[in-house]
Amino acid sequence: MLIRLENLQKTYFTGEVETPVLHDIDLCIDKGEFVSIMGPSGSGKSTLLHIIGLLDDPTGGEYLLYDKHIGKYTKKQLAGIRNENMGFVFQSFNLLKRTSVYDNVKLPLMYSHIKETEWKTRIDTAIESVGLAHRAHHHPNSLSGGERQRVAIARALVTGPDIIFADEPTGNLDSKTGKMIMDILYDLNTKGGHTVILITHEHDTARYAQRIVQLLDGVVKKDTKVTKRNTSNSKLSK
Amino acid sequence: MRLDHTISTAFVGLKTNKMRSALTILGIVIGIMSIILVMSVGRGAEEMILSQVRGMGTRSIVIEPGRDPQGPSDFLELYTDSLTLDDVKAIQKPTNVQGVDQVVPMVLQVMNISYAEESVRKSVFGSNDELLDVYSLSLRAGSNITPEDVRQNATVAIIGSNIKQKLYGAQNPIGTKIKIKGKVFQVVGELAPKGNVMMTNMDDAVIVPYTTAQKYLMGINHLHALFVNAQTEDIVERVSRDLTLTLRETHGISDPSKDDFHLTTQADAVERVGMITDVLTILLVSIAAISLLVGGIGIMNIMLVSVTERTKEVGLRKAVGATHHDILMQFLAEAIILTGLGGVIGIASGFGFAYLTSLILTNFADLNWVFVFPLSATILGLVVSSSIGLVFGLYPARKAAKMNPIDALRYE
Ligand SMILES: Nc1ncnc2c1ncn2[C@@H]1O[C@H](COP(=O)(O)OP(=O)(O)OP(=O)(O)O)[C@@H](O)[C@H]1O
Ligand SMILES: [Mg+2]
Repeated sequence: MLIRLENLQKTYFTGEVETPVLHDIDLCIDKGEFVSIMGPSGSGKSTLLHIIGLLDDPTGGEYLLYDKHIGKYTKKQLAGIRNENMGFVFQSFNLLKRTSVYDNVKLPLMYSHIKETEWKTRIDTAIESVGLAHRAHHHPNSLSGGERQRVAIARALVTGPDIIFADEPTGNLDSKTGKMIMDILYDLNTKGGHTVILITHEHDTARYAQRIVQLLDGVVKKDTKVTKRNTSNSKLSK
Repeated sequence: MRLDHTISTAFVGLKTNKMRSALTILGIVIGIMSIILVMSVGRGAEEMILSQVRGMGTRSIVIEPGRDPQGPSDFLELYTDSLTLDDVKAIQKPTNVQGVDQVVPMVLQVMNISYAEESVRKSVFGSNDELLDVYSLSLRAGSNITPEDVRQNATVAIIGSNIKQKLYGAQNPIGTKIKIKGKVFQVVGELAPKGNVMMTNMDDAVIVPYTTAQKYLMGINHLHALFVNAQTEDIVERVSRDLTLTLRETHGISDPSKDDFHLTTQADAVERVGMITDVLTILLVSIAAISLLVGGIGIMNIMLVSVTERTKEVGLRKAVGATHHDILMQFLAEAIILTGLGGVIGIASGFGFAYLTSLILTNFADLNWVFVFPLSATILGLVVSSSIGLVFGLYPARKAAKMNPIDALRYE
């Protein structure tokens, strides 16, 4: 099992105030799955994604990653897992503004153990797979929202991670551009074999996944298989 | 992350804020620049003074009244009247001191010197015919004062080249009458330009027989200094010892701590000059160091601002796999590059100014100045400036490295 959560809890402590966000999450995700997480605003979707993505710590329960308790990894190992096994795509892109597309995509490689001689091929391949080869030396400022999100996806997959996390990747985009992003994520799952965990508010977007997990007030309310899965019809993907 | 990537990342970080980076290092630049300037000019001054001290000759011993100055209060004793002509006579007796070549008595005071309408206030030396020899002075015109002049308290004078220029211009001074402190003297000689000898500019001096100076000009019986030349350099120490014993005897002193005179050889003077310039250099460098401290605090301040501004960037880097160590090194590298660069610019401009100073001093102040490039100061400058980056960059860098990735990413 890739990811196994048992009775996972998260409570934020801000000074004296305790905010319990995740109460009792039980969830398993297998390698190669595409899972959408849905739920009303404030239900804890992002919090859950950040914990699974090792960006935040749970305050209770168990999280087994690669069948190993995350408490058993050192901080350095966790950084290494984030680097080589995980890729993040955020709603707000989070690109380095004054750095070219090429250098933005290079960023995770600089923290990896991947040999520098491989970097260029990897970066070029990643940029090409999101259809931005002609924009490689532009700065993010001069790109459209959809293009920026594609840069973020290229960055997420440049180290060849097992899991790609996407927190409302289409939230800031129009539906047509959003669809293009979803096509790429779909192809990454079906053709690239990446596990994809997606947060979205739109049912239509969620149905690119094989499975939809519904959160409500910090617990998993529903976990259903998608019957009529959306498929990619992008010309970009090969 | 590998070190070369850390450094190139740091450069990118600095380049995005060029103006701020430049202003930030200004404090370091100025601090290092002043240290280099002070050290270079200090060494230059030391070299210059030493060359003058060496100009006094390796055979010479200067005897001055008063105890060897140990503290500020002792300097007052320099003006005691313990040295007299009796000492000269005693020294000249070979049974007392052997191996003495010349004994030149000296009195010295600043006085008004006038000719026709022109008037200057300069040093008047009372001495004998041997002063020119021991000071390595030569005459451009006229003749030296004679032993006869000394015996007869003759009112004759030799004038320095600057004084001649000021009082006479192109006119020939020899044979004319000048007034020193209102008394009439006949000019018998004019010195060729020489510059400083023993910290006194002889171009601005007038030389008269010491007997005349004592009686007519100063109204004293004592001497301000005795200039003794040993016959050879290797007997200087022995001659000094004999001189001391002779003077103690003529002064009736049995307890050496009660000495009312002191001797200075060239070796002593060299040592003293080194000590004085060292103390001055340390003092001035400490003052410059304050500017480095201020500069360092400036660096810390700007680094803190930069860390806060780039919180989101830190979060992103951590999300894509940067470790605590990677982030720490990135910000430390920025701080060290910044201050190191400041150091390099400071060193370059410090030496630039020092060189300029040497040019000005040689060309306009007519000093025998040499530009000194102290390698030790250069290395010190580099080490100090980069250490400032390390010390003052550490806190901001640790602050950045300690950030929780998600808190940093969420920061607006
Ligand atoms: N650092 C924090 N400190 C305190 N409370 C927090 C913190 N982060 C999130 N929360 C709270 O946790 C709850 C869940 O937040 P989360 O971002 O996971 O919701 P979400 O389901 O992703 O919502 P949205 O759909 O609006 O993105 C919210 O009520 C939020 O206010
Ligand atoms: Mg959210």
